[in-house]
Amino acid sequence: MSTIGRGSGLDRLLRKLDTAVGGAARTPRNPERANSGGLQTPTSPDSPLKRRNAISRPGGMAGRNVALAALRMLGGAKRPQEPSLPNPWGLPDPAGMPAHAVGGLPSPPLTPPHTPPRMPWTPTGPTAMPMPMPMPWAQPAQRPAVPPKPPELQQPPLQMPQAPTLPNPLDRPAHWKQPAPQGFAQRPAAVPARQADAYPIQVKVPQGQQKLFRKEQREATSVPKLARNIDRLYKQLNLKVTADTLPAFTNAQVLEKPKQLGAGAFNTVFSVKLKNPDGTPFDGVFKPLGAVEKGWVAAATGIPKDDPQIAMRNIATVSYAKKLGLDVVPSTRMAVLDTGRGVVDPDLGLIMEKARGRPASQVEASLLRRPDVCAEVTKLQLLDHLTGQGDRHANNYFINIEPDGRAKVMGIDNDQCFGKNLKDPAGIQQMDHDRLRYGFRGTGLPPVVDTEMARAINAMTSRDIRAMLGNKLSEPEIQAAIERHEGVKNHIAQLRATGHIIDPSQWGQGDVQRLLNGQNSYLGRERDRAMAKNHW
Amino acid sequence: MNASVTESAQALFDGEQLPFPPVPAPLAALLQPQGPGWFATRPVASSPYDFDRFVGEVETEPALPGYAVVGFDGHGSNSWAVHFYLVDTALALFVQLPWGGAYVDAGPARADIVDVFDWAAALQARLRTAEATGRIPPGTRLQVAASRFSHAGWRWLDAGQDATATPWNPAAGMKAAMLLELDELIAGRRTTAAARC
Repeated sequence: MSTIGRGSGLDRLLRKLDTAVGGAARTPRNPERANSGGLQTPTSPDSPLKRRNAISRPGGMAGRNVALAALRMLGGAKRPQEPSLPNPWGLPDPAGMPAHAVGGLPSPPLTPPHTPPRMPWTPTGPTAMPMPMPMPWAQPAQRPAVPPKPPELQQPPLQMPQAPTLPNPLDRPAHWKQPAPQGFAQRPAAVPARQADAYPIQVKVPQGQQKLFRKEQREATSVPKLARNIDRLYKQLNLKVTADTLPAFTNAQVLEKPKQLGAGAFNTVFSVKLKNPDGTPFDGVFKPLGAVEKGWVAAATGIPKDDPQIAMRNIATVSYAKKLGLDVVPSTRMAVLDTGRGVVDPDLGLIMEKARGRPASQVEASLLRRPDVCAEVTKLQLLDHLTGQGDRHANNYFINIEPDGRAKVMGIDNDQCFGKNLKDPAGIQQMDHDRLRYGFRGTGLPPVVDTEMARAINAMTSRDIRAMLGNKLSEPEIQAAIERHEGVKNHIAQLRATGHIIDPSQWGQGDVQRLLNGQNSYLGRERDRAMAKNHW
Repeated sequence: MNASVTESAQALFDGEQLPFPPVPAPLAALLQPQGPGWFATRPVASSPYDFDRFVGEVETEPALPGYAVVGFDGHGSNSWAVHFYLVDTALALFVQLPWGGAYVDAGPARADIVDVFDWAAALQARLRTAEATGRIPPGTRLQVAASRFSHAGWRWLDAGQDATATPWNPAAGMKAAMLLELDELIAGRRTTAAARC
């Protein structure tokens, strides 16, 4: 049954990871990442040795899950069949991802016959996510026999941390019941068949070296090599492996080769046309992730420079917005894509919906007075206060009037947020003469909110926040988020006391509009700039 | 003279098909690479994207020796900019304009950069004339913030003057306003003290 030898790289990797699953994953050294289900955060950023040791350690569940994810991408591993949960964002179920571009390679079974029987994979810890796992490679006759699980080791199937089947009755209508954002399919359809890369490597091989090239090519596209590379990418970023961070897209879904976006050769962002599981195309933006953050806002708010967790901050922002029903940030998932260096050397990064419309810095002042624009921009502002987003300038949020006439606001670059030191929701405000506020580009809290916003924020509890962020951020970062939420709730209470909670239909009223100025609202700030900017 | 580094800095801008910022030759010769896409004439603690840090520094340290920073910096998908910071005896100029973002329309952005750099060159020429004719008292600087990410405005600052108590002139029309003011200074129709009133 086995198609992979005892000494193969993947087998060694899996056995190595398995032996490290226990202690490393359950006894993290860094209490700030105590809830991590994945790689360990170094105990001290000042200690290169500790950092190297922490990262080089197999990483418990993280390493195992990355390898398993790689296997699943290759169609070579199977999870126990469990009921699938609705996918709130309509994104591909990682378990249902099609095979990666290694067409023709035999898919290895998870358990070689010469090793002791291994327990079937059972999701444990915060990374657990019951998912159906297709096994297209295995014919019934070839399916490896799974040894029965000893009763003492049987565990009840764990639930996904944020079980979407248990909606809070105080919440707005569940977001996952709403139509999916444009560009993403509502729900993954059937898993497409294994396919080759969308864009094959074009290499001219000199005479006499074809044999060597073929050997290297085989190695480059082999299962162990790919698994190692994916594992390496996660380790480089110290990225925990959760249902949210597994790659939702790989080269197999690429319809058109990624193209660098925008002006400038020093910023690496790619436009890429991808295929949803149902076959529909969509235009995405792919941002490869770096392991270092140098921004002053990040430093001032306590985001670790050498372990910034950019992906988690983006994903946490999306989760927060979704929980509140604030549709003002793009759907964001992880992807492993070849951006030009070849299949063997892909990038791990964020894939997100392409923002539509124009950046707020370029819209006319009149647009900023539209009632629906006022409401949507205020939603983004409230989200930024809650997440501690310190770098919301007028070039990283977009305003679009959709074909149906509704205003759509989309905030991007959600990585300078959730710092553990920022506990005051108004702390994102730009203050020219406050050294501690240098670099912050936000405003004070809004002078008016509507009843829907107030209800959504007041309905959220600290328990909700903890459940939402628990597998994404450190404990001090979660605690700071809870304090910011309390601060926003207190602000809403003050607004209520002064009659500044309005009906959503009142955003267009003159007295409401006049409350918005450059110090207390993005709208006021952008109006001021719209008047002055083009006339420097 | 470090010609190769200066050439590298210029090549960086050439590669973007952008003009090199009008850095005075003595400072340009001192440029050193400080990051993947930017150069400075002295070590700096923060990267150019942290605009407010540079603006605040010159306010709190008026005796700061002259320096220049040029290059590209940012984060995320669209939070990227070209930077040109110049602190000299009579000028503290901080320019931060969108460039390099995934959603930046290169044509208009390039035109904006060319326009502002041309204006900065004209501003420096007038300041040199004003200094040479003794129209700008020692220790007085024209402070200019020109960021499309942070804030914009301009003002005169004396050494030891409380910057927090000195209001900024509005950004609207500021390029022409500064050139006009310097023309009037040079012509003797105005003083920097009067300009602050």
